[in-house]
Amino acid sequence: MVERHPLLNATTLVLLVLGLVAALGPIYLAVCSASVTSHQILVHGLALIPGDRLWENLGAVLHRADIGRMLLNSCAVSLIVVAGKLALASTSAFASVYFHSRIRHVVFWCTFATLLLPLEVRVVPTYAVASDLLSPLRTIVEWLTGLRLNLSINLLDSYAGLSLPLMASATGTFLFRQFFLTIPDELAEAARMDGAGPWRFFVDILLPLSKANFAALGTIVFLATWKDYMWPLVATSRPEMQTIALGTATFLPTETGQPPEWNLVMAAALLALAPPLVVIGLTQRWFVRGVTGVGK
Amino acid sequence: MKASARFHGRWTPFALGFPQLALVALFFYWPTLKGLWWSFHLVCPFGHCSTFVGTGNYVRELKDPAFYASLGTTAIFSSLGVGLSVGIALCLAWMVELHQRSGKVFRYLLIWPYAVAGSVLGVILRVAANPTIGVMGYLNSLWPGFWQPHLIGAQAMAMIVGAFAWTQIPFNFIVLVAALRAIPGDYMAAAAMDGATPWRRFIDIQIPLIRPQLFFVGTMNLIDSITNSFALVDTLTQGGPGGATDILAYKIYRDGFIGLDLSGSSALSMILMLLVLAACAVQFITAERQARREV
Repeated sequence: MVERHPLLNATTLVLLVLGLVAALGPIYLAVCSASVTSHQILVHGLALIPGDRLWENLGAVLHRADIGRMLLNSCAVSLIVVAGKLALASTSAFASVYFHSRIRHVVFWCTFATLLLPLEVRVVPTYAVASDLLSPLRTIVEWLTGLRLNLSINLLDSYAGLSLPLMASATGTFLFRQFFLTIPDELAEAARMDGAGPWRFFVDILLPLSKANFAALGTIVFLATWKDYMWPLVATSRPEMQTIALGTATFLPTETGQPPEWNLVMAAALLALAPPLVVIGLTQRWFVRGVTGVGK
Repeated sequence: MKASARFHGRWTPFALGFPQLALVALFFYWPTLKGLWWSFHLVCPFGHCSTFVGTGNYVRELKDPAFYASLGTTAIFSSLGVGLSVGIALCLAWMVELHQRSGKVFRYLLIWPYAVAGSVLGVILRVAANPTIGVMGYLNSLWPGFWQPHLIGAQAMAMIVGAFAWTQIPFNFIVLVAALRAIPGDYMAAAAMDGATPWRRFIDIQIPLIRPQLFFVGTMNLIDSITNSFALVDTLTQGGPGGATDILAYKIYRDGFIGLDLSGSSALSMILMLLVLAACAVQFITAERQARREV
């Protein structure tokens, strides 16, 4: 800032360091406890200095439960949601900006309304739909024709069931629409004058211009999906379909059991938070851009 | 947008928008309608039969003391959680702005907690805040029985409020740092030349100029505290002890999936939706008013 006052400098630095300790403290404690023996935690309490058994503990966790499978599930679901949301958001935003047809308003407002009611609030009926995907179709057919169809698709315990409901939101469409509206009209005019159709304009002009937006939105969506807990909790019942954010919690000791192995619990937590941390560390620019642009 | 920049054709926009609309219809509108329908019917546990009861479910919920207890818990949790996360993030953003020499390092490191899922933080805190082996264990050995979040409601609440703030601060921090950096340096330099102290500049220049962003993060946090705190409660306290942390989002889940009371749970969902809608409306109206004032 403007002045250089030693006392001011010292105070701000102290506050910032305090903030940093609070921010990284839990992660540090997880590293410490994940790198000592279970015995040491039970006898001496929580470790405050890292030990030397980090790799053994991580290996033990990977063998113990299907943590590897859970990591894979989290990766798969997060990537599916990222790919799906980017594709749907960019095409629907294109449809809602670059056409004469009134359908563009329908596309925009029908999507926009989903901003208002998060998945957590409608989790019970969403679960009902995922467990019986064709129930809307059956209801409509029965209502229209009186016929009772005997079809059903159950999406629970599948990647489709884990990812599709997370894609049904408006944030992406909203971000792309905002961005498309800032692109000069002259680009589309020139493209049309040169005889480009909507598809060609979209692929050859709009998409290359939106690269940074894809990266920003992709990062945010990846992190949000990875961290999601409630939907995997209700949409999976088989352990091999659980994601890591959910699976870590199943590592907590239950009331009646052997002495808890806190070091392994912490090792599982570390495995769950490491991939998103790497994403944030490597893509900080896009990540910050995504957060300020979309609001999560 | 100029008309000449738009494409003709009726079916192309429809085809482009259709996948999104279909997904939203299936996983947003249909469940919302179904929830609304359930909330006016008495539905048997697995949803196969139902009788119309009008507003009976709402009346039942609104007469239930457990609802008001949960509403009160939600109010305490949300106001404390939002206040704490906005306050601390604002303070940190201001410090980063004041201490520009090392601000960059802190800007980089302070957003790391964004990587930690609520459930993972819950798991870490179950160990770190454990009364016997955790950090508080030292205090407990000095004053036995001082820290017992599994028995003392206020401590359990403090724990989830703190954990919630911890997960929200990185988001607030990023938005507020960006807002502070967008203020022209001339304003601050001119004020400093007139003898305004950093505190004075903060109160009289920076805060008024970033008020829209402050309001924005506050609303986002509020919505998150109502809807997104589920993972923390489920991993840390399960609503206990004695309902001290039984926030509405958790009660909806518990009533619906564990109690299998689809009607009551749906009525609660609708009430919670109204709360979220109200929060969104306030944000929207205020943002509009602010924008109009600036024009």
